[in-house]
Amino acid sequence: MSTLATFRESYLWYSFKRDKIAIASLLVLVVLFSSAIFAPLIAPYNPYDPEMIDIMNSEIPPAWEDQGTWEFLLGTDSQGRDMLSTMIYGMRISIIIGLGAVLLQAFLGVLIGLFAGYHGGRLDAIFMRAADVQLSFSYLMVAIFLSAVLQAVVGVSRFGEIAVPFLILVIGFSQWPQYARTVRASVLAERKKEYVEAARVAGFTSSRIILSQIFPNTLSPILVLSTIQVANAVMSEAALSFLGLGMPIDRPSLGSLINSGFEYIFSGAWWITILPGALLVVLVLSINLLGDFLRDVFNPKLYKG
Amino acid sequence: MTTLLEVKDLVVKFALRGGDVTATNGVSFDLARGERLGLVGESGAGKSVTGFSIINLISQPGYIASGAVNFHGENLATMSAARLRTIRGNRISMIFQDPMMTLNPVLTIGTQMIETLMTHNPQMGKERASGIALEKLRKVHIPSPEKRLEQYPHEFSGGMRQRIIIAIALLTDPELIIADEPTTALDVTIQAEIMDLLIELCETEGMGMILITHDLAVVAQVTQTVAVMYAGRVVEKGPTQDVIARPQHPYTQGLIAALPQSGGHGRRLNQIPGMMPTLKDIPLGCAFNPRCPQVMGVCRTTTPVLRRADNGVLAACHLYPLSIPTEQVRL
Repeated sequence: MSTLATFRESYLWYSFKRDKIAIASLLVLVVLFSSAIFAPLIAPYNPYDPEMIDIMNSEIPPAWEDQGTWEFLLGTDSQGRDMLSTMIYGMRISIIIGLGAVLLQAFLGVLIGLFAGYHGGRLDAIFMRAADVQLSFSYLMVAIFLSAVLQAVVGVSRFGEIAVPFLILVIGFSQWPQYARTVRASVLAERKKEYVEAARVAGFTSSRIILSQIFPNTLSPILVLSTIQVANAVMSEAALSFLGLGMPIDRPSLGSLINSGFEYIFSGAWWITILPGALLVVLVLSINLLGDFLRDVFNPKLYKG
Repeated sequence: MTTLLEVKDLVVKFALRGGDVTATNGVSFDLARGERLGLVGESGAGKSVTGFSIINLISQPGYIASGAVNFHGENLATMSAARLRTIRGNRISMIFQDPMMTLNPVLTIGTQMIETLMTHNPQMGKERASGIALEKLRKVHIPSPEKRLEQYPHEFSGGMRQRIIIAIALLTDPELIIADEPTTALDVTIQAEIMDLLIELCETEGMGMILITHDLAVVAQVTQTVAVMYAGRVVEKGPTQDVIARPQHPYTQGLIAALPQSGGHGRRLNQIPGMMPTLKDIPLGCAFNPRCPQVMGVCRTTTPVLRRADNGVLAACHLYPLSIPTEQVRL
């Protein structure tokens, strides 16, 4: 049976076809992600190219407003950048940081959760206490501290170049305990099952048991958690950038765009803040809705009220 | 016949909060190449612990306190973990009680079989591994094995799964299979099929088998020799036919009398009164003495050793005091 045929017979596909919200949010996500991936092809302007920016064009309202022009569909920001293009590029950065941070979290958290859960004892105790300590820090506090140090060391101008990996590291390292705890909980349930015993009897090494036997059994909670965590990471990035600790204004993410428009909101230029804000809401909402759908499918015992 | 496995004075203890508890106390038996041995007893008699200690896989807090498990003359009880893994699942395989639980639910049968083969033979290619898997599935009479390799455990019935587990145990052509109550979770017709299959495989492949069960009928059908365990000790052992036909130890006699007889309609079933003692408070002397119908004074003070009884069977009972203690006599 081919993989595709298996998928079309699966419960996942069956429930997906019947869930209008899931279909809608997947559609929205596909549109958003593909426009982020193909941003250079889709966006009418390149917001990173100073040649294309004219300060005379600043603060033009969206096309449907009185002074709007169809040249700039969603208007321009205070520096004369086309809002639509800047938002697409900004979303691209937000998504890259969100996915990157989640990959890092998942890698650390899953590995720690698997080994701590399986071996138990001192290893488990050390990592889980570390997780508790980590969770009692606000990631904002850590990020503020680290980015202040980093900006002092490399200088504000060069900070922009390393902002993306920096944000991935900060958000990634601050959230691994979520994964570690989830994975550890399912490992604790799995490791008592007889197939694990059978694998030990069959002469498997413990790392092989963990990676090839137990890990596949923990995938569904990991998948569900990942959707929520991507949404959280995108939000965290936006929060950090809004505070001025994240992406610089010449390479804005959605968060720094919201921030940059914030001071103009009382002068009537609402679109600089509201439009990227709305895009952020749509992005995070559809990821979360899709995550809810996955959770319902993978955890049928959960009562859906 | 050459000796394949020699279990000698095996003592397994569990370190519990209130002190150590002895799960098996001086268990000894030999197994020749291709021989089928039954390990019988009630729940908690130490059968499974014996089975697991053979491959040195007693879970915490259990440990082998003394004794030896010699496999081809090498002591598995003192062997390094890495060396043990080359024997475990490779030259000695184990089959468990519940076929519903022993297979990994999220991996296909093929993946699980190939994984097992590659663990013991990393150089083996996937092609060859799946070839061997197919051959073994055929051997346990799984119809259209090519298709079955790509299926998941939930797509099989209980009997089929137990066959697959047997096929997995056979993958590496082991010399010894330890079957821990392989048919308890299956219904009676399937049970007979699986047992026939196991006998057939032992005979065609020249495998030895240790069958751990509480079912004397199964033991009578499958094994050549039998060891009866009670409260961590072997109380009787000998050729299966002789033990079943003329059991010497009062416990074995009680077990056999408790079997429902054909033609015995309308009669009450016999039972052995009382319960097996928990491992924490095994009575002084013979552990069976509180339940024994023929108990004597000496039973309450001295633990009997295995002695040769009338028909050549070994029994640990004070009823046979005049025969020579048979520490050295090999079955």
